[in-house]
Amino acid sequence: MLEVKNLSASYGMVQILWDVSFNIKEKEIVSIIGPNGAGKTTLVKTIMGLLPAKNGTIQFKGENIEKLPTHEIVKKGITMIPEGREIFPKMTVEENLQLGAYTIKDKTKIKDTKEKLYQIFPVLKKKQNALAQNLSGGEQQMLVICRSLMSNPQLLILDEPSLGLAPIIVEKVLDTITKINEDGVTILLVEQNIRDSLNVANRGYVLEKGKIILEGESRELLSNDHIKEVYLGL
Amino acid sequence: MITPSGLAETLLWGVANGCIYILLAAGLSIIFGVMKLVNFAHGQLLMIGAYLAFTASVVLGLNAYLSILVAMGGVALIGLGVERFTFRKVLGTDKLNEIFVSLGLIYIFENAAVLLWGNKSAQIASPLHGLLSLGGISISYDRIAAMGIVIVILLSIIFLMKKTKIGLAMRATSQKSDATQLMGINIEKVYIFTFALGAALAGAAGALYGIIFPFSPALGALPTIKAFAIIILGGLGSIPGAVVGGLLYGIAENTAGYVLGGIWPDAIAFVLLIVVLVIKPTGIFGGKGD
Ligand SMILES: Nc1ncnc2c1ncn2[C@@H]1O[C@H](COP(=O)(O)OP(=O)(O)O)[C@@H](O)[C@H]1O
Ligand SMILES: [Mg+2]
Repeated sequence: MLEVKNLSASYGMVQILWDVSFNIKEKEIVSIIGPNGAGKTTLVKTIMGLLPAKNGTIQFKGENIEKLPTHEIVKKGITMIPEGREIFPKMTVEENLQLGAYTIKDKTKIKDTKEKLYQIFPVLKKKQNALAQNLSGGEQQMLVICRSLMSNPQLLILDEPSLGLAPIIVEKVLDTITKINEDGVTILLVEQNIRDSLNVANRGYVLEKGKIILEGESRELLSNDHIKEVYLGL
Repeated sequence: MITPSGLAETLLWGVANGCIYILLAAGLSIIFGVMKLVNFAHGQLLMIGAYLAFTASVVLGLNAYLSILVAMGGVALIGLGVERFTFRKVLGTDKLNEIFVSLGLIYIFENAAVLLWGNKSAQIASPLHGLLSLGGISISYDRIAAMGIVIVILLSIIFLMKKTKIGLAMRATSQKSDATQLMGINIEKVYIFTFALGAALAGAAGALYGIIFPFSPALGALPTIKAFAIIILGGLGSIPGAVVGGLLYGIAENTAGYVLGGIWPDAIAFVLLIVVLVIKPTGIFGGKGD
C-alpha cells in the first residue's frame, strides 16, 4: 500500500534521513522504532509532505505522492496524528472533529462517523462543547484518534501516541489502534516504546541516525540481540 | 469650555470614529492572527478603498453607501493579487522580508493613487445631511449610519468565523498551521481568503472614512499606526480585542481633541501604544487565535 524507496530529507543543510526504504501492505500494522532523535518524526513529516523529500520516492497505492502538498496527500486517504497530539486547543471537541472531516463533503456521513465514535468514546460526547485544551492528556489522545478517523482514512500514521501518557492509558491507546486495524485501516505506528509497539505490530523497522538498520517480523525483532541489548536492556 | 453634555457628545462621536478604526484593526488582526503576517501597508488599503468608493459615487453616480460594496470588492481583489504575487513569496521566511515587502507596497499604493486620482483632497458626497439631536446631544446621521454598518459587518464576520467551513479553517490555521494541513486543508487557500477578507475590511473602513472626512493619497500612514495601537491595545489576533480597542481608541482620540485640542488627537495613538506596551504588552484580551 505504501512503498518508500531511498528517501532522503534534510533541514536546511543538515541531512537527517539517508536512503530510507520500507513498505506497508494493506491491513498491516507496521512499526518504525528508534531512539530519540533518530529521524522518525522527520520521516513521517516527509511522507505527509510537510517537509520536502530531497531524494527518493513515496508511492501510495501505486501512485507517486512525494511531490504532492499535504492536503492532497490527506485526500488520497492518509492521515497522521502528529507527535505531541496537536489538538486545536481553543476549539471545542466537536469543532476538532469537524476539522478532521474537512475533506468529506457528505454531511450525513460525517454525522454517522461522529456518532459512532461518540458511542465508543462517550466521554468525548459528554465534553463535546468543552474546549479541547481543558481535556486530560488521555482524553486529548482519544480526541486526536477520533479526529483522524473522521476522514475515513485507509492509512493512519501515528507519531509516538504513547508519549507522556500513563501506562494504563497507553494500553488503552494500543488497544484502540488494534481495533481500528481490525476495522480495515492500515497502520504505521512510530514509537520509542519498542516492546509495546512490537506487541501490536506485525512487522517493524528499526531507524537509527536516519538509516534503517534492521527489519523483520515483530517476533524476530523482539528476540534480536541488538534490540535486546540496546532497547530492552536484557 | 468643558460641559457635561459636550463631553457626552464627544464620547458618542468618539465611538463613531472608533467604529471605523475597528474595521481597519479587525482586518489587520485577522491577517496577523491567521497568517502571522504584519502588513504595514494596511492603511494604504483603506486609502485605496476611500478612492474606489469616491470614484464609484462621484464619477459613476452610485449612492455613497452602496459604494462601500465597491470599495470592499475592489480592495479584496487587490488583496488577492498582493497576497498571491508578493507576500506568498516571502511568507514564513525572515520577518524582515515581510516588512520590506509591505514598505514597498506603501510606496506603490500611494504613488498609484496620486497617478490615478491626483494629489488634492477628496470627499465622498453623502445622501444623508444634518444632525440628530437628543436631549442636548447631537450626532450626524452619517456617523449613525457608519456605526450601523460596522455592526452589520462585524456580525457577518463573527458568523463567518463561527459557522462556516472557511471560518473553521481560518481559526485552525491561526492555532496550528501544520496540524491544519494534516486535516486536508489547503492552507494557501486559507491565506489568500484571509488576506482578501482583511483587505475588504480595510476597504469598507476607507469608504466610511471618505464619507465622513476629506482625504488625500497620504491618508494611509496614520490609520496604520492607529490600527496597530488598537490591536496591541486589544490583544494581537483577537477580534473582540479589536472591537474593544477600537472603541477605547476612538473615545480617547476624540476626548483628547475636546479637552486638550491641537495635535493631541493624532498623538494619542502613540501615547496609548507606549502605555499599553509598558503596562500589559499582551493587550486587554491577551493570547491569540480565537
Ligand atoms: N525543525 C528542525 N530543524 C532542524 N533540525 C531538526 C528539526 N526537527 C528535528 N531536527 C533534528 O533532526 C533530527 C531527527 O529529529 P526527529 O525526526 O524529531 O527524531 P525523532 O522523531 O526520531 O525523535 C534530530 O537531530 C533533530 O535535532
Ligand atoms: Mg519524534
